[in-house]
Amino acid sequence: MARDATARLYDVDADNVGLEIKTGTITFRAKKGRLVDLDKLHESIWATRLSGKTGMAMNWIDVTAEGEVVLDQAQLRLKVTGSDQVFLLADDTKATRKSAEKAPFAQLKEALGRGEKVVSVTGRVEGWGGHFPDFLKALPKKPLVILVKEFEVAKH
Amino acid sequence: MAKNAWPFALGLSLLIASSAGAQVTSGVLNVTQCEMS
Repeated sequence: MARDATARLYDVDADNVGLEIKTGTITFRAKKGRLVDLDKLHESIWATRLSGKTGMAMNWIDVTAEGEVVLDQAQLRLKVTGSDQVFLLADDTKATRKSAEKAPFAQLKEALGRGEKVVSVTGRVEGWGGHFPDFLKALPKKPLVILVKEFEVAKH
Repeated sequence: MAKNAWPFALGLSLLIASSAGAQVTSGVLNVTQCEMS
């Protein structure tokens, strides 16, 4: 009921947020034509004031960002569509994969080398985690780094 | 707060966050739950 009230109050589709209480996993999706600001997300978590001596922690966050991947100063960057935000892209060295399997980050670089246009990247945001309240004290350092797990290329 | 109730509050805060700002189109986050009762 409270959730529905909030959805009405903020004109947000309640289907945008899913809660899996058993695992502590929350999924979210921006409204069509909008984007979710991670700084505001951080601020909102802080605003719940659910911190201190409770053992709570942000373990990880995976995001999908759409835009254009470019090579700039020997660094792959994702320029987000509809925003001046830039994410740095890097290899997820902690990910487990079969020995013969190429890392998604390497595959992304190969796709760019073939002249393909990478339009969406999904991955873990580096440094976006930690125990409360320490994690909530300051915004994670910019630019944020996405450790690439998946990506999409433009369809011809 | 009842045990396990806090993710709801966090979820609600996400609803608010999703109405503003910029950056990502979707995401999934994982948090360690408190043991308050």
